[in-house]
Amino acid sequence: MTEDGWLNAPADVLARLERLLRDFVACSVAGRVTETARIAADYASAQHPGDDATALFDGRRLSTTGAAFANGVLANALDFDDGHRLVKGHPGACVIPAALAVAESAQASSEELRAAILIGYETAIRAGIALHARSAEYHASGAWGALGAAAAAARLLGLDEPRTRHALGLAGYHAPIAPIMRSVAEPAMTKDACGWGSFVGVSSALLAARGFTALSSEPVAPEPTLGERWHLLDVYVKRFPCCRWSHPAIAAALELRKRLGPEHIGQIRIGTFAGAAALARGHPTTTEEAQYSLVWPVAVAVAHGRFDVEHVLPPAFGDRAARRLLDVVTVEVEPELEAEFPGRRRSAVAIGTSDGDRHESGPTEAPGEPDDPRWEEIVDAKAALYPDGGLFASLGLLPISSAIS
Amino acid sequence: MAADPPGPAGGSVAAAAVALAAALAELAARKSGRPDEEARAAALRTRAVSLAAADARTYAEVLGAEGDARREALDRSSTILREIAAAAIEVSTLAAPLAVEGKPALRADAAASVELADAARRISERLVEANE
Repeated sequence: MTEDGWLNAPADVLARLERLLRDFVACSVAGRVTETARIAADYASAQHPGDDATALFDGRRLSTTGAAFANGVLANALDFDDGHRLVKGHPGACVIPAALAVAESAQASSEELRAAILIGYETAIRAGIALHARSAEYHASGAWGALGAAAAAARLLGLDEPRTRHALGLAGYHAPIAPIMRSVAEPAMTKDACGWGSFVGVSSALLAARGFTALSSEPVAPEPTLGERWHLLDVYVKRFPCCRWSHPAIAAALELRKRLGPEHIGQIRIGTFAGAAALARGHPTTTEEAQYSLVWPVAVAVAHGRFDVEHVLPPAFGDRAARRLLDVVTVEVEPELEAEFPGRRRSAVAIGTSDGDRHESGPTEAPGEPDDPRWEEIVDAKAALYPDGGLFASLGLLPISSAIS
Repeated sequence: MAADPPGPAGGSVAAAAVALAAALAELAARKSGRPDEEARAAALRTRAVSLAAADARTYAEVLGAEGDARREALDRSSTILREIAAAAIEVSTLAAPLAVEGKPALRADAAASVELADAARRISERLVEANE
């Protein structure tokens, strides 16, 4: 695809890109309060100092790679950031921090930044689909997101085709393996390895720019639909700050909660797919345990009629109303729901009341899926809840209404 | 605060800190030309003041109760403390971008707001643990 082609992508692609940037910023604003983000920024400040780029909403100046790392961790810290069903992970948190860091360092225009991010998304998602197709193990976003980050960085650095290929090859070779299911089973700050994916991607492009070579990039097979088939249009956004696999059950629980008071709850049954059923079921004691849980968000949703950022941060974990409900939740894998995974991720919630009634949600999809008519509304609500203090304007990016009209 | 018998204590101090942090965020938002953030910060300031009073009431209930009644009072106290923490998170989240992107002359004030709100959240967290 020609360089100009990226800048002249279809209007619906550009409109979605604009809102994905908004979503990224909102997630980063919200994520700043986490220990994960603070530690990453402190580490980057100590080990990757510089004056090339900025730790978002922290202000410290960092090297390009340091900013890519810290901001990648920040964007994914709440597990609130965008994702794609087929790659089962987060392209934006790998690609956008890399592009922002290199663009700031290279003083690129907002148009170049947008084009690079678009290239990064399209490359990352293709790399993720290819990686999942050839690997039995489920790798986290950094494993394939590094290639998207490298592609975005290569574009901003103006690398020629051979050097861009080396950048992709380096990213594919050095990207984190990141066995995400281990991090799901034992929730920790490791999460989706977005910071390392972004770091490796930027490092790869910077190395390739200096002539460092790599074997060819296997994960991104040449795809004839590049520039024709826009995977970015299949990116979902999150309404809740936790693992995507719990979102269908949270949405179902919130719908039932509108009809029921929490004082009447006897039992809660969640029917779901195997991946969601594998999420943690105990009382959370950390942000990560709360995020990689199926039952905690559902218990909070039923107890309080909402599930927000405060519920994945201490001191929320001692909430007695939610903890009481944790003890009455059961989880079962539904063959019908498992069969449609990962193309569709649905769950069903049934609530039995203390007076013997039973209320069922039926199979429910997570809000914010690509074809959800509320997709834009969800992003706009997040952007309103987590205002950027003027960052978007300072990047020279158009207000969202201008980009869409 | 230091009077005997004890009246408002740590929780009320945390809520008061949130109110002060919200006021700083409100100021920074106004001077940065961010009316939406200014309005939200003002609402949070008002809410934090009412939470300070609510915490003082629940703390007094804890001190005056025994047995099961004390346990229930502690639970009510923790509920208020979690609300203080939630308000602190919201203030910190509102102020942090202003500390980096807001009007340069007010960035240090917005940063002070962040520090104060984060401290208030940690205080609330510790007090909830003490109530367990």
